[in-house]
Amino acid sequence: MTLSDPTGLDVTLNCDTKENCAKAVQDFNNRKGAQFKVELGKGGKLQVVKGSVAKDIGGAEGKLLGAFNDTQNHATINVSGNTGQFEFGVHNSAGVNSVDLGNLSKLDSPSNAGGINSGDALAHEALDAYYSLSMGAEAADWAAAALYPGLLRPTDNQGAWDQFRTNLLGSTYSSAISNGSGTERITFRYVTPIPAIDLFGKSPQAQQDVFRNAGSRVTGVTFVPPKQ
Amino acid sequence: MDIFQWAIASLVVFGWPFLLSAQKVPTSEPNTESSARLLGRVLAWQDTFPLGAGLGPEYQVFVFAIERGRSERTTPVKVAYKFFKSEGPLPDRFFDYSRQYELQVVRDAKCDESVKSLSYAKNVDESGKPLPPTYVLRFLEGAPNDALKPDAVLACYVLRPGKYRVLTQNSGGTPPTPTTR
Repeated sequence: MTLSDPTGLDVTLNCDTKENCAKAVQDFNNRKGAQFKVELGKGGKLQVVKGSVAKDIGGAEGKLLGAFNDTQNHATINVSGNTGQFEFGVHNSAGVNSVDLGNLSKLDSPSNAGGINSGDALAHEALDAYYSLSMGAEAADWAAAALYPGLLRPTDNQGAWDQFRTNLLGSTYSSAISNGSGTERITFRYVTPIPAIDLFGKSPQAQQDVFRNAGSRVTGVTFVPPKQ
Repeated sequence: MDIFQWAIASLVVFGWPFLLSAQKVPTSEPNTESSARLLGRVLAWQDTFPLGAGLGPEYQVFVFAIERGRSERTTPVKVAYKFFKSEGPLPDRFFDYSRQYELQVVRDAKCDESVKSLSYAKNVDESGKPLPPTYVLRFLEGAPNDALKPDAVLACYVLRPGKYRVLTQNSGGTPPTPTTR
């Protein structure tokens, strides 16, 4: 998905299907506390809906709007309904991020009430792509996470096996939300279960290849509030 | 001179806030403490998946043995290699015990972890019933596997792409892929 337009709005949605472009716009407008809305313009470009900007817009929403109004930098978001992997969204290169709508939809499930929703995740990826045009990947991620939180390192990983423990079916793990609001407990399944023997004695990169080749999808996300 | 002096205490002043002219960028560095230079060797890597689900970087975890001059005594620490998809994970050739490395890392006490916790991954069956945990530390060929005490808590450091270099490499050749045991 690339969000950009001739009037200077700079995010372009590069979608795999027309329907997914429409879904991405719908998700994007579903940000918590959204203070403006976008619509799909010509060529898949996002533009701010006239009259939708709140008078007192500020904070993260103000920064997001500012990114849209920046005529100098143009960010692109590749939108896919199913990338075949379990990632929500990733940073590909300067100015380019990708999102997976199928995985993002799990963020909107009732079990994740209070967690990051798909709209906020899309906003994070859009700003990450935008900021990465003028700074390194790590700094861009921090800058984006300061406005729309991201996820921190995986912890408490738990593998799911078949009854004979010969095939790895998936995994459940935790990722703290970067603003400290809680933790996401994320479950994914491999599209093709991985025989344990295929992982035995493999190098780190060879293992990553096995995992990637098996394909994976997020099947559930549960928000865990911070301990009081 | 002690090679473990934690050299640069302040650092981490990134220039990026000044690079955007259009709008002021918020600064929200999740957890930055102090940077350090570590000399030593990779002892083992953590055989676990996933490395991350996006909305942020991915991480590869390994155990690094800090070497103190000519002393045979080493101090193991946990290192989390933080990378983005565009940067990629560590190459297999990195995991070679014959190589002595210099790592430029950032201390992050939030990811300190015990050897025991680092060594095992939990498992369940399809119904959610707990299964025995899996041992997930893979020691490199030639690395001493008695260097880690199960109850020890390893200090954690974050390593970024390009922030390491090979200082020396023992003779005998490098295996094409890491040999683990």
